[in-house]
Amino acid sequence: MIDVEPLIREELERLSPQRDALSDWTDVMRRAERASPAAGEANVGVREDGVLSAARGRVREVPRRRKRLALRLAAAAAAGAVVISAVSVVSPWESSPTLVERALAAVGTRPVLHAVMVMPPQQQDAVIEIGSGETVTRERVTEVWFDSSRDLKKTVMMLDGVVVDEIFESAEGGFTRSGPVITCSWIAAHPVEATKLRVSCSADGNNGTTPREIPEQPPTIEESLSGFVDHYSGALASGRARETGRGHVDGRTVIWLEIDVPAAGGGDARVERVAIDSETYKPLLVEAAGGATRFAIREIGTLSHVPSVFTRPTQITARDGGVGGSTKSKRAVSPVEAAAALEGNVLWLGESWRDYRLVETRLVDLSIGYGPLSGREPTKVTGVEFDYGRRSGDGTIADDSIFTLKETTVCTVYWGWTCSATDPTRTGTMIRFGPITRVLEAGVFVTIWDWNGRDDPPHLEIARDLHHVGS
Amino acid sequence: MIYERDYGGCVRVATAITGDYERGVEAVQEGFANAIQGRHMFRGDGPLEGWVWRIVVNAARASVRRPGDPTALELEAADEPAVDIAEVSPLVAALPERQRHAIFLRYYVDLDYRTIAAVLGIEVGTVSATLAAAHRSIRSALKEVGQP
Repeated sequence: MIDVEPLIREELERLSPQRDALSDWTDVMRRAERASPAAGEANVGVREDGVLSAARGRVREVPRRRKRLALRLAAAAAAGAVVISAVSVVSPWESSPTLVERALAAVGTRPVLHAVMVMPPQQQDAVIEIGSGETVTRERVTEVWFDSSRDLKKTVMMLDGVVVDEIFESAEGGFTRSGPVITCSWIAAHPVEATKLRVSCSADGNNGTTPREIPEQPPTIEESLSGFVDHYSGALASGRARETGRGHVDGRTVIWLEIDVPAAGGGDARVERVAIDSETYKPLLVEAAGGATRFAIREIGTLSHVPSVFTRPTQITARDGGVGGSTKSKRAVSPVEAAAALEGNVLWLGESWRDYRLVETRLVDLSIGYGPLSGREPTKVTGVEFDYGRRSGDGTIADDSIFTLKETTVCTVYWGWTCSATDPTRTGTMIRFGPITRVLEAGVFVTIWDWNGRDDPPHLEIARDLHHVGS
Repeated sequence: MIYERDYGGCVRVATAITGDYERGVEAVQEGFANAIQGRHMFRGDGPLEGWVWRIVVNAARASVRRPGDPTALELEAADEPAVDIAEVSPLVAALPERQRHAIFLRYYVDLDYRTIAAVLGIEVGTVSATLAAAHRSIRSALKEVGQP
């Protein structure tokens, strides 16, 4: 009988050879986060992860750009409608403006739209005080300046007033703090750099070496905001806005309007609800997708062109913590050896904790990368991992009960931190996101990795019981 | 932990399913993101590893099933898999999908029968039968072309 196994193995090796694939957990988390993004969040996700994400994300950038093309056309049309309609409704010969006219006039007619939106909180915005268990949810704000006539847009994302990222977009492309927004136009203009980043818009992945010029798509506002602002004004002007009743939002009496927002791709229109202040006629709250997307409008109005706003953000070319990394080696060690390797800055739960016991301690050599465009060589970081598993009746450890503590004394993106204002920034605090919890305690960056995803045992209790090895 | 440990294997399997390395990587990233989003759906009635693998395999399969996806078309002018499995590996390509996937999971990442069963949504005993059938098919194909 023919032994087919060697043949199968040979064919499989040809089909999908073993490669040194670089894993990117941060990218996974951001994809998970992006499942139900609020307006502006897509920006944070795409831009925050910078070069590495761009390298991995060449396909997923596209729908956004496609969507933007359609939105841009809609925006351009609607922007014209805003100005024309608003001018007409506030003309002096109009003596008794209607609700719609007042709402239009409240936004104004100057060339730059300026809006400050308060986004719905996300799980990772909640900072937990480890001692008290109290949760403080940080406020996520997106501020946008949009000049459709000059194809300029500036977006600033903030968390509790601290800038997390900012984006400047123009006909020349987009720029974030982490570098350029990778588009086909950028790749064409920077073929050598694009090849270093492993991004391409050609099917064969060959960017060539000669720069070419492909016009960049002008910016537009994000879908929800675009849907709201562009179509809000257009819908008001065209009669597609319907008053559906009155209510209260944050103690203010509001008038609810329903607006049919045309789909960007020409599909079925969707309905957005806008609550406008009954006194100022300015919008206060927007609900889309049946309430799944909801954001507050803290400020909205139009401004004269302000050149100083439309500038590129200061580049952080080699963000501390890197943009990714890889595990170079791991070896099992004793907890004491692990503690010594990190000069005593190692936190653990002891040899046993509740019905868990320490299964293994490892010393890990990490290589932290900063991206090909940073000009910074990868650095080495030493980390420690503790595996704890639940003892069953017969003394064995079930694989799916194991959780891992990963620790370094410097912030590393590779082990689940963002190394930005979105992390816990005070000692004694933690942030959960999915199966991962980031704990900042005694100068140690601890990540609790819990693959059962059930918060069992509760991460807060793990964090509370962490103590130095030997103490 | 599963991600870090199995990433390389996941990419190999997803690459084999999609016929393209980039798509394979994309499918793995999407698969694990899906697993995080749907983690509450894990009922604990099988190995967690199998549940995660199943999501990754499904992400790869979905990637194959969307040849007309305009998203991919825009950047990937030719959105066909970069590697034609029938050319590279005609013996494996000729197998039914379930047998092919069982082979990938067994040989690329050495999953045990219980986990393969969880991934493919079949009984453990069927895994053995599926692999045996794959071996038989390959063996008879080799006889047809006159190989020893």
